Amino acid sequence: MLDGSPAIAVMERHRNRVYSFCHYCLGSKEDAEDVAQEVLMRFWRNFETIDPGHYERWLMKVSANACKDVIRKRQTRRQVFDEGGHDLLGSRPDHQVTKWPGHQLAAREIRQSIEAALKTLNDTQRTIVVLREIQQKSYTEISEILDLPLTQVKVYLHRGRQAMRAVLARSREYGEI
Amino acid sequence: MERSEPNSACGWVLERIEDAVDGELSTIERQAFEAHLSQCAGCRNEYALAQDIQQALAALPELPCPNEVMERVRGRVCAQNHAVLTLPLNGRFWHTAWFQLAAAMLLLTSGLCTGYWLQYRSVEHTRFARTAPAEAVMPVPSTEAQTEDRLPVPQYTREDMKEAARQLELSLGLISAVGKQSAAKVGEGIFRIGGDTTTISVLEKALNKKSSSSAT
Repeated sequence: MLDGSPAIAVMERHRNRVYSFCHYCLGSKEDAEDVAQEVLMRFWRNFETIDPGHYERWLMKVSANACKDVIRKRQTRRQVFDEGGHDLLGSRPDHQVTKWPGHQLAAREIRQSIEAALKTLNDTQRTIVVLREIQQKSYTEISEILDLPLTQVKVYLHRGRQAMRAVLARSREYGEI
Repeated sequence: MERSEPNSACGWVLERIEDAVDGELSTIERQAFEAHLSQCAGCRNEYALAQDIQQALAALPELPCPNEVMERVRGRVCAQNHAVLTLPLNGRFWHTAWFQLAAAMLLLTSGLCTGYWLQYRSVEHTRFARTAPAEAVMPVPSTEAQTEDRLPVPQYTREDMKEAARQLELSLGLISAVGKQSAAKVGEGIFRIGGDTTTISVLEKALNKKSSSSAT
């Protein structure tokens, strides 16, 4: 019954992108699944009101906000229960970042190192880095998705890249010792 | 000669690493940038790391959304579609003036029906009690008979019944007209003047007009 629905067709087309974005932003498969499901449901409910030329932008925008909410809830939970936050984004100590000794590691290990470094960024930096570097969005698109001024997007991206460089440089040194 | 210690030019280069990675340096800037890198191992490493990170991030695969996610979405969509089919009115409908008017009129009608039915039954009972043979009537205690004597027995004429039926018809007619655009003014009139005799006459006029048109 739903196979002919245009909303479902658009959802099918973009679902990997939505899920992927959520996964890299949240660093958790379960959370990414939950958020992706909610985002797609919201898309279905609002399908008639969304400009057909901006489906992807709408999905990314809602995904970014939903991820932000999840991160905020995690932080609140951490404050309440004082769990130490070993699985929380932005709270992973540097020494837990996987070592990345140059180009000698296998692609899988490099990926793990990059994902771990990504988790050390704050949520805005990480969202922008994911949009820019993984999803290959332009600065203008990121600015529209996140409702941030272009200059601020550049600043966040700059800081995010610097932070990742610092983390990975440290782990490189650590690996070379 | 290659340098490894940072110098004044390093600051300029490090500030532009992002632009260099994004390919946004001008030709002149690019030449100066590369000239510095050829002499400075520290900046070269920093630039190489920036490039590595960008390439590694870009190489991260687009992760496939698990089918279960889409199945759950389809399930919820189906459930909501079913709800929409069985109840095509959204929550806002229940707060509209039309719904409130219809509900009020339905209550009024049911009240009128009940009232008139009770009165009708009372009249029938009185008529039956007066016309039935003495042996068919249950013996009534004297106290109750006295009470009945004290209370006036309601007497409804044929005109009263006609009036009751007319009012009932008015209510039913209004309810049936609630959903129609043509009845909008009538409904607004009731809210505005509180259902006084003017409104009744308006309704009566509307009904008479309707009945005369249907007769023709």
